[in-house]
Amino acid sequence: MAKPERDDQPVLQPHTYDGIQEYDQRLPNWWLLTLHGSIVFAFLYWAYHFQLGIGKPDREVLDAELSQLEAKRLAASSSLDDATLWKLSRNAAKVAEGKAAYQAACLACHGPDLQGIKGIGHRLSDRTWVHAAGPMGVYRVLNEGVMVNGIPTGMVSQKHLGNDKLVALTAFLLSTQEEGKWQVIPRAEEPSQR
Amino acid sequence: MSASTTVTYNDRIVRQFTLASMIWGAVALLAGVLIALQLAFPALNLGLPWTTYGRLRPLHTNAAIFAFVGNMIFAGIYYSSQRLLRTRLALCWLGQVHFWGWQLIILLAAITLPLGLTRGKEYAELIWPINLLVAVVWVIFGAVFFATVAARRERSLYVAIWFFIATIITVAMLYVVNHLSLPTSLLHSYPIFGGVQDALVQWWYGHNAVAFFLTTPVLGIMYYFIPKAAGRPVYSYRLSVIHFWSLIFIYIWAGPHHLLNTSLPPWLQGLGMIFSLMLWAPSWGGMLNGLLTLRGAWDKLRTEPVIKFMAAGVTFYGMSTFEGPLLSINSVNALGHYTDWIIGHVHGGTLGWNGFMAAGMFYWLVPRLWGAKLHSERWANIHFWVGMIGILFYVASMWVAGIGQGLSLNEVTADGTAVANTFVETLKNILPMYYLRALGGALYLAGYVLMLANLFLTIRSGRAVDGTLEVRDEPAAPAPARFRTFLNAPVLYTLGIIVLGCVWLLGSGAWMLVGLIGTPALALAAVAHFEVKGYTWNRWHEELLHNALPFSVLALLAVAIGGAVQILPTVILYKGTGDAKDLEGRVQVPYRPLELAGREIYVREGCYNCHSQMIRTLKPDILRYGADLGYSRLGESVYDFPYQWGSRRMGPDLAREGLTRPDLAWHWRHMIDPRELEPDSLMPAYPWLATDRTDRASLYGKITALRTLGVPYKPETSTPAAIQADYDAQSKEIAAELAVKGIQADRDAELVAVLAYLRSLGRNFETAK
Repeated sequence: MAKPERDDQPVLQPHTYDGIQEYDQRLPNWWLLTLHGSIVFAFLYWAYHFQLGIGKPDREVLDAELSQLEAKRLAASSSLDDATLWKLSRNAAKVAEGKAAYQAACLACHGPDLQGIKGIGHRLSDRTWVHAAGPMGVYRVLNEGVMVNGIPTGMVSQKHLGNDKLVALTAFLLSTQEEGKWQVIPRAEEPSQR
Repeated sequence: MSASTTVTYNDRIVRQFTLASMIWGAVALLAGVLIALQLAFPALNLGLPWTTYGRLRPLHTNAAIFAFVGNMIFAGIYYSSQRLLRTRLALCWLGQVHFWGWQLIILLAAITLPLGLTRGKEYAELIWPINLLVAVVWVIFGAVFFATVAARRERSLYVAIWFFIATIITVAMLYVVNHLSLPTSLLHSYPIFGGVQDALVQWWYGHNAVAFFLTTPVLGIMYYFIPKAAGRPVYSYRLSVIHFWSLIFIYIWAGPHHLLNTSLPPWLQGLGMIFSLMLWAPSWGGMLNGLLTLRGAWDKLRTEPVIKFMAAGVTFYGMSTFEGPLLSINSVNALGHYTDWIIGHVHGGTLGWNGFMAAGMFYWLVPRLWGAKLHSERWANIHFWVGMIGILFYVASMWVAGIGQGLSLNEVTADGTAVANTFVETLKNILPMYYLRALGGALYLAGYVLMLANLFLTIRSGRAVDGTLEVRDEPAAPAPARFRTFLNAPVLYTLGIIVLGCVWLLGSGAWMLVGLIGTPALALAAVAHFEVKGYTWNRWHEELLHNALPFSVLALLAVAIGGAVQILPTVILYKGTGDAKDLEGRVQVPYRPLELAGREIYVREGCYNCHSQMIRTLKPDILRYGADLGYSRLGESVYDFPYQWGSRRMGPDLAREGLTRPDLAWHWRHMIDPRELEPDSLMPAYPWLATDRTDRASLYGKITALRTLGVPYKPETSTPAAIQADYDAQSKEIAAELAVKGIQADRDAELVAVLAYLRSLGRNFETAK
C-alpha cells in the first residue's frame, strides 16, 4: 500500500489501472444520512400506507371528496330559475364573464361570433332554439348536455366548467335574446344546419 | 528475465463508433429542433404523413438514445476496456459485425419510423424484425466484450468495467422482455402484454433504458476519462462499491414512478415512489466520485475542455438525479406528470449529462485517435458556453411551461366543484416557452456543429494511430475459487435481507411479522459482523473483482429481483379474466373490427405522443375528463395491446372521448384542419386520412392474434366474413351519421375508422363479474 505523503492524506488503493489510482476515502456523513434516511423513510411509508392500516387508501379519500362535490354542485344549481337568469343576462359584468368563458370553451363548435358551424354546432345568436326551452333550458343543456336514448350526442355536458361559469355562459347567451320572443323549432328547420 | 511484447489496441473500431456517434448526434439534435419548432408552429408538420410530430418524435428519441448515445458508449467502452484490461480487443471481426449491424439498425429505424411502422411503445417503437436484429447485435457486442474480459492481462476489474458489465446484462434482459411480440405480419406485431401489464413492463423497460443505457455505461466512461484527464486518483473506492451495487439493485424497482396516480395498483405505485427516493443517494454517489476526483485539479477546469465538459456533465447528472426522486413523490408527480416539466427533466439529463459527457469524451479521443492536436481550444470553449446557455434556455423554459401548465390544469374553481381553465387556454399560455425551448435547442445544436467542425479539422490535420502497450510475459495467475465468491458473509447477508425484505413488503399476517422483525435484525447482524470482520468483506470484494463470471452473475441477480417482484404478480393477477376486485369492477369490451382498424391508425400516427388515455385518481383530472364515470379503472384498458395511457399531454386526455366529444362531424373536420375549429390547437392536420383507404384485409390476422393473447372475441364473430360484415355495418352507420351533417365520407377511408375508435373510448367497458 502506498504510503500517504502526510498523515491526513487519504489512503491509496494498491492497484493501478492504465495509470488510474483510487483513494479509499470515508463516505461523507451527509451522504450516508441521505442513504439511510431514505431507507428508513421507505419502511415507514410502506408500513403507514400499506400494512398498518393507518393511512386511509388514497382512493377512499378521493371518493369521499367527489361525493361532497356532487352534493355542492346540486345545491348550487337548485337555486336557479328563469327570472334570475334573465336578470343576470342584463348584468354587464356577468355577461362579460360569460363571453370569456364562451371564447375558451364553446367557439370550437359554435364559432367565434355565435353564428354556429354547419353540421357541428347550432347558431346561438338568433331567436330560434332547438334544444333549449327558455333560460333554464339553456342552463340545463350546458349542465347536462343533450342525450339521445341515454347516450351523449352532439352537445355534451360542460359541467366541468363549474356552476359559476355555466350561469355566466347562460347569461351571455341570453344577453342577445329578448324575454317573450323565444321560439323552439325542430332541428331540421334550424338555419345553421341548412 | 521475461520477454517483452507490444500489444496494439484495436482503436479502429473506436474511431468508427466515434465518427458514427458524432454524425448521428447531429441528426438527433436536428430532429429535436425540428419537432420543437413543430410544437411552436404547427405548419412545420409540412402537411405530409411522414413529417408529422407523432412520427418524428420517436425518430428524435430513438436517434438520440440509440444512435447518438449508443455509438458513443460503444466507442467509450471499447477504448477504455482494452486499456483497463490491458489487452487488444478480442474477436475484432465480430466487433466489425457489431459496428455495421448497429448502423444498419439505425438506418432501418430512420426509414421505418417516418413511414409509421411502429409498435407504439416509447423508446421501443421499432418493429419486430428490427427488434430481433437489435437483440442479435447486442449479444454480439456482449460476446466481444466478455471475450476481451476473458483474455485480459489485468486480473482485477476496475469500476468502469463493473458498470459496463451491468449495462450489457441488464439491457439484454430489459430489451427482450419488453419486446416480446406476437407478429401478425412482417411489419406489424402486438406486444404480448396488454393494459396495465404492458404499462408496467413498458416503464420497467423505459425507466431502466435511462438507467442502463444512458446512465451506467456513461458512469463507466466517467470513471475512465475523468481521472485520466484530471491526472488524479478516483475519490473513493468504497464509494464506488456501495454506489454501484445499490444503484443497479434499486434502479430496477423505480419504473412505476412513471405511472403514479394512474390505475396501476397502489402497491406498485408505492414501490415506485419509495425506491425512487432510495435511488437519490446511490446516484449522487456517482456524482461525488466524479466531482471529488477533480479535487486538486480544479485549475484544469479553466483550460482543459475535457474536464470542463465532464464536470458540467456530472453536475447535470446530479441535478437530474435529484429532480427524479423529487418528481417521484406522489404529490409532486400529480403536478409534474403529463407536463413539460418531465421533458425539461429528461433534457437536463440528455443534453447536460449525455451530451456533455459525449463532447468531453470526443475532445479527449479525437486528438489521440488521430495523433493530432485539437484544432482549436477556443472553439471548444465557445461550444461549451453556447451549449450551456442552450441547455439553460431549454430546461428553464420547460420548467416554467411544465409547472405553469400543471398548476393551471390542476386549478379548481373557488367552490372546488370544477376546473378553472380549459385545456387549450393552458396550452396558449405556455406557447412563448415553446419558442424559448426551440431557441435553446438551436443554440445547443449550434455548439455541437462547432464541435464537429473543430474535430473534423483536427482529424484532417492528423492520421489514424493506434495505442500500444508494452507487456512482459507474466506467468498466468492461479484461477481463484469461483464458488467461494457466492458462499460468504456479504452475499448471504444481502440475500437474506432482500428475501426477508420482500416477505415483509408483500406478505401479510405472520409472514409480514417475520419480515418486519427479521429484516432489521439481519441488517443489524450484518452491521455488527462487518464491524468485527470488515476486512474479510473487503477481501471478498477484491477477490470478486478477479472473477468476472461470478461478478456478472451477482450483478444479474441484483438487477433481476426488482422486475420479478413487480412483474410476476401483475401478469398473474391483473388480466381480463381476473378477479373483479383486481379489475376495479370494470372490464373492457373488445373493439369492433372498424374500431380496431382505427386504433391501429391511432398507434401508427403516434397519437400517444401527445394524448393520454388515463384519467388519474386526481380531482382535476376527474372533473375535466371523467364524464361522470370517475377515474380510469384498471379493467377499462385491460385488452389494450399496446396500452395507450401516454406520458405527455400536449392535447387533452382521450380516455372518455366518446362521451366528452361524441360529435363525429366535429372530429372529421378537426382532423382535417384542427385550427379551423380550435384556433389555438397545436395538433398536426391529417387531411389524407379522409382519402387513404383502411387496410381491411389484415383485420382477420390481427383479431386472430388478439384472441391468442386472450382478448375474448367470440369465435362466430371472428371469421373473416363476420369481421368484414361488421366492418361494413359500422362504417355504414358512421358514414350515415356524417352525411346528416353534410359530410360525404368514403366508408373505407381511414378517418372513418379513426372516428369509430374515438367514439368507442369511454363507452367500451362493462361491469366486471
